[in-house]
Amino acid sequence: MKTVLLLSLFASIAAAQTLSNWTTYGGDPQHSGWERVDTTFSKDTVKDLQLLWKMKLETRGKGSSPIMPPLIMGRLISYRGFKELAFVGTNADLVYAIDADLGKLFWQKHLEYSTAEPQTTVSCASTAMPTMPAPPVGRGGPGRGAAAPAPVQGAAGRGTSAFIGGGGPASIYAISSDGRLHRLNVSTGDDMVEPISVLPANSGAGSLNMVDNVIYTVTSSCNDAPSAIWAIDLNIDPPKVTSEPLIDVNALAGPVIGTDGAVYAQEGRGTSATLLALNPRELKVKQSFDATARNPRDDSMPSPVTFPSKGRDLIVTSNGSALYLLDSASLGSGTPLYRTPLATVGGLATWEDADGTRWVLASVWGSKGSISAFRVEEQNGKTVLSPAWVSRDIASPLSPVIANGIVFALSSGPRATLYALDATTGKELYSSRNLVTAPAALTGMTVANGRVYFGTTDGTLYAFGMYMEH
Amino acid sequence: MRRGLGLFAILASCATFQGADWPTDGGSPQRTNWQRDETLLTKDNVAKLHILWKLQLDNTPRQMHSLFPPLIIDKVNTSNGPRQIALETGVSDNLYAIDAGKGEILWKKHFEYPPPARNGGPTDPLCPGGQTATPVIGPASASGARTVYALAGDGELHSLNLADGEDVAPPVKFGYPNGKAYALNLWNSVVFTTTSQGCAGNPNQMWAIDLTDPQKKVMTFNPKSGGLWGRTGAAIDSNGVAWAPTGDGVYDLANQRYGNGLIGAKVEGGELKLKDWYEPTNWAWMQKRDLDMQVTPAIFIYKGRELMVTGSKECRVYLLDPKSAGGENHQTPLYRTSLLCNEEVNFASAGIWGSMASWEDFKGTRWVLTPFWGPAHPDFKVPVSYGPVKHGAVVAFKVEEKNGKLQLTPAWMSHDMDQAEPPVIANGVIFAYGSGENTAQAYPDRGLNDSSPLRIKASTHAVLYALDGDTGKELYSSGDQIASFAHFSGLSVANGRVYLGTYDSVLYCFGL
Repeated sequence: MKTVLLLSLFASIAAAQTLSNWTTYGGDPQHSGWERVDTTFSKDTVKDLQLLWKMKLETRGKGSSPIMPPLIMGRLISYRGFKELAFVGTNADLVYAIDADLGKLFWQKHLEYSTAEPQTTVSCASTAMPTMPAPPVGRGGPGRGAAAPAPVQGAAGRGTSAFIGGGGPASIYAISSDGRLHRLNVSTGDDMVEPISVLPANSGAGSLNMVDNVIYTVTSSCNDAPSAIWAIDLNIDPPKVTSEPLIDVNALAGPVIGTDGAVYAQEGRGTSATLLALNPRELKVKQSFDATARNPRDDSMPSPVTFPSKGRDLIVTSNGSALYLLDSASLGSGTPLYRTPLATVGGLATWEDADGTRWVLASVWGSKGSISAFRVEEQNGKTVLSPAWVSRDIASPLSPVIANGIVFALSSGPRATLYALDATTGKELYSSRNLVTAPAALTGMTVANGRVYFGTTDGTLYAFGMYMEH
Repeated sequence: MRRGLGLFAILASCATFQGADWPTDGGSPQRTNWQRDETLLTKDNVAKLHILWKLQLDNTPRQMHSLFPPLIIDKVNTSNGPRQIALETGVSDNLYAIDAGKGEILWKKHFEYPPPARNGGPTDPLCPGGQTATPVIGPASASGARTVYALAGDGELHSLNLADGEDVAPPVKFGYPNGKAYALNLWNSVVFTTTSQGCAGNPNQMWAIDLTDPQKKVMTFNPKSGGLWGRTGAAIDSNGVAWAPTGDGVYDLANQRYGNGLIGAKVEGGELKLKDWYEPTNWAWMQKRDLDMQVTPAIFIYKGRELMVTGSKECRVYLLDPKSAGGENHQTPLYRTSLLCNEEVNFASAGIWGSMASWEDFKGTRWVLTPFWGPAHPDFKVPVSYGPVKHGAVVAFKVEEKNGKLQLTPAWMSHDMDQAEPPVIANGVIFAYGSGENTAQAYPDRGLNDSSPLRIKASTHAVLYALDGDTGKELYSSGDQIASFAHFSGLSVANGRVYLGTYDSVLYCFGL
């Protein structure tokens, strides 16, 4: 028995050597929240989760979203060694690169505010969550179940913009509060090219999503900036900026990119809620789905998630009072594949288990909040969301993330509490209890390579994970 | 004064008469890097070291490799009488037998073969191709003849007469072309080597061949790792077990994968069989950060007990028992030091590289020496040191027993050396050198770009040092007398002479 356990441990550790990336909000362009590669966590071992490190970051003012969840680059072979890096943007126009294994600062970069328009102090003028290039669509991207490969260092793009290609180390991209796009050297944080203005200053860009050398983001009506979706095409020199106006938007998560390249954004105000499907780059509206609610909702209108199914993408979205399952091929028909009432939804996620069952997770807000899990099933020839489990009470949880059959949920407050749940039953496997002393930043979580990351409103980044002897 | 010099000359002559050999890389099959028979070089006179001769050889460097440590045999019966021969190996499949006294070539052998179909990358320092294994010289035959066993770049093992370079037996297959073999070792009649980095698509494994086997069967053990790249190949213990570090990789017992560890294999029943292994408990961390176990161990006797030391790029030294390396779980060393260096956890320009060394002084104190690259770790405490260490140093430990347990007690750390390389001990003097090699494999503006041309351009020159074995105090420095750097070369010491080959294919002989 001892031998079996040992062998199992060895196998698990060996497998854990495959390192994964978390390239954008929700981990992939589809915002699935699913870490496909990591096998460090298991239902047996996740009880041993511990607070590995925490780091106080510089933020500006007070607010619910001072720091974004980190991007993770599983392996950078840098001039200072092999590093797993966590890149974090804060609302002080700072980007941090942190040695994720050690919780040590690798570099930090202040993105200078450099336009004539004065910088506002309104909190929505934040640094967007940076992004890394995701695998090209339709070529084994993560939405098709493949592991997200490490960004190719120095890989040339298809175009001639200085923002792509050119050799050298890999890049991450960030937009500063003055609306300029930065291409940062992951080894040093230095601008690799002169930043260019791509958005109005102080417009509070949402998280960036990069596919096929095009960066997508959204802006809300903050500081009189337009509410819009934006595409910054780096294949063209100089990069071409395209936008499409939106009726207000929850900017945090940014747009979602389907595995077929379609761009999704959810707009709405009051009771209205419309999911737009736009074509890549040009951002022409191809289809839309009206999910107007009966009752005015509060602030939450979560980012949709998409996933491939039978040759097309399915989309799950919410208007704050109901959950919709939509077919990307017939989005404009006005008829969802399925609709189920669900109270205020704070975030969505989706994953597929080893048996091929597709799951959808929704965080339900409120003091008696929870995570609700659904199976995507065929019933009487129709695709439905079949309720599977509801977690224990979790106060206003953020969008959950999933790794190796474990759902990580984070209650937002008054003290952030991290939970690990059995993804097939919802059973609690771990709770951080009172290890965190501040409310969670209402931005999100990241999970990669045996660690779960989130920020708190006091500007602290937390890393929980499995112990690895150094 | 004159009389004193005369007496010195007589004494020196007598000492020379006793003769010391360096028949294999690291000086012995145990790879101790200890020249036990040296009497000419002393702490008192080593300050007068100077270049006795230097010889420009016609060897063409491949990538960053050029010359390997020469093997030294005294009193070789040549057609012109007894000669002390320094057998120098050049990576372009050259062997040079050099009269050590005169610095003149006695014979040269160049191994010819059709260009192999598979090669390393055009600028890849890891896979130079050619003859990468320092040969080994067998014991004297009844007639006094010495046989050189040399592995050519095409994987053919040659047997040559050291006296004249003539074949004494047909070559036999012992590897793959351009497979990057490391220094040969000889135990009884078995020749060992190791290969690494999958050069030219070849397997990373330990190799053995029994020279008495009429079939010349090639025996291998593959630990399924990134490569067994201990600088001086395998070290062999008193039971004939060959120990080699396995380099990068995972430890996965279920699938017989022994990456980031140390394996011991022995020839039994016509097979090379795994006998034991050691895996650091933090191997996963080392694998993640590319902190390979890649240091050829040194094996020695301490108070009648055989012990073994090795290290890694992580920059720790491990004390192990060859009879049970790592204990029952293969992960419990007798002793593990704190980090000596590599606070930044770098894979390229920091950590312990190459091989270890060990010697015993006349008081019976057993010493262990290790080189390292990069800055000393701020938490590493050593009683004697010589200023800040930024680029590398040699550290000396005493093997001691306290409260019934063995330990490595830090004794001294040398002054800063530009990429300190494995030292050699002779008569209480530590010979060490900074290679002057640029070891960068990645750059802030380029990312990963391990390119020979870049590194060669950024390299400087090697510096030879003599240190007091008790204190680490510098007794001699060659300053800027050596013109070029030395990549994966090494020192040889015998009969009052210290040898080092450099990238420009110059062999330096320092002496009195």
